[in-house]
Amino acid sequence: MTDPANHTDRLIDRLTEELEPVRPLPRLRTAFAFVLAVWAAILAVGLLGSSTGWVWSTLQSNWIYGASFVGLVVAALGGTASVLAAGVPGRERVEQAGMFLAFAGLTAAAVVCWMAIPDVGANHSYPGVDGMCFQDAVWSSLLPAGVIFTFLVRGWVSRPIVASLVGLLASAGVGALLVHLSCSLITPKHILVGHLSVPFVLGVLGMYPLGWLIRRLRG
Amino acid sequence: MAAKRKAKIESSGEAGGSTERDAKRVSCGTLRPPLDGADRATAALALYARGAMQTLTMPERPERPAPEPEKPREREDSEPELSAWMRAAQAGDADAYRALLTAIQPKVRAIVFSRIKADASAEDVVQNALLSIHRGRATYRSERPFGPWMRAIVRNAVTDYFRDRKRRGDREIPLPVEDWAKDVSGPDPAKVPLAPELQDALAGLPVKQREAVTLIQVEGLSVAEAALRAKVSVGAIKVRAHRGYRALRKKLEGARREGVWESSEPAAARSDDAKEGGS
Repeated sequence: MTDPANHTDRLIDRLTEELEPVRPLPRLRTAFAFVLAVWAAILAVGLLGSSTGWVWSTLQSNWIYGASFVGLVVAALGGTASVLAAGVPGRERVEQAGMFLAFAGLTAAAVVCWMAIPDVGANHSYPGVDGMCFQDAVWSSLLPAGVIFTFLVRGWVSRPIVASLVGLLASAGVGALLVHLSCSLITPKHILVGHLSVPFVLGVLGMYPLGWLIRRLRG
Repeated sequence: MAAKRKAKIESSGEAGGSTERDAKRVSCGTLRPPLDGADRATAALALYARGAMQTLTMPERPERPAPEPEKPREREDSEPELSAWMRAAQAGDADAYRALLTAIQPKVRAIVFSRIKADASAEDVVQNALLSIHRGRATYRSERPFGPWMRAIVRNAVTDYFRDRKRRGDREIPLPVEDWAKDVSGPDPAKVPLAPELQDALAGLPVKQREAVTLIQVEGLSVAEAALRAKVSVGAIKVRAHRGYRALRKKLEGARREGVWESSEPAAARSDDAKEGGS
């Protein structure tokens, strides 16, 4: 029977033979700044045609709208930081802190809206509008998701399914934010169903297929 | 209140409370008897004189040798070196890469063996960790310390091992290594010719499964080496090999049932026997 340690020596020989030059990943801060610039560009282009003059005043006057805005921003930023850190071994703290922020931001915003529904008396149903906003948010999330997954595939992710979930939360957070800023219907129920639910739904539905895809692409 | 407390204290003093306590202590031999003022002064003087005598008669302490400059710890010492080797490896320097892998091998092994007790499995995990370091080498940044980066990868490899074991635990029964280790000691499996039936069955497998089975069972590579050769992950090569074994077993059982292959002897030997028996 051959000694397993010999296998290890042979493996080192083979790894050395197969060595090819690689380009190191960019620094985490640089990558984060780059992705934030992309987010800003997406939001700017997305809001180009729409009138956003009322957004600032609504943010100040309607606290439910403001809370959901903050929740989505926190989810996008925290999720992005977490996903970028997930691709680099040894950056688990940043990864976990970002993940916590993303979940906490979204959950807090959802709870605020949920609790506000009976108070405001906005139990009217707008299924068509809810669905439209939801759909728009999903479409708007595709480009951010592409940017995030480019980083994920290049990095060395230890838990692809969790990273996919957080990545989808972040990218759908950007998509939902775009819709949130351009949508004029600001009832709590609509915000909850049409805007805030998008990251949760996309994350849950997409984490397994994307996790599998990351594993496949990484080899 | 205060007057009462004072009276109580005085009365206890008159009753000789403290002297009784002291007498008890003396009887136990734990303390000296209490001294009055003159005795105390004498005792203090005697103690002082003894201390002074000790100071006078005490031999001079040899001078302590000057403390040697502390040697830097091995980890701190090797950290910049490892980092430099990794940087060179990222640029394609094979010698630096070999030096790096050789240097970190004991560290990787120490981490893995501290968590996994089974030797064969632990060595597999060491190989998986080295393979992960190889595949994830682009994620290392030279301005960050090398140690935490490496340890994170090794920890992940160990976690993957436990996760995998837990997943397979319900489906597989582990064989005691000691029992079959004696039976498999023999010629190098890579040099033993395969039985034609087995060759046929292997040829009938899908390409990926055949590759996995051949690399691991015929060429005798470890799972990590086979994964490297096939350019897939360790998990993927295990899945392919497992499916390959299952398909092989089905084929061979089918052949046995049909009477094509009745024993485990190579067909060539059986046909020779048949010829001899026939003649």
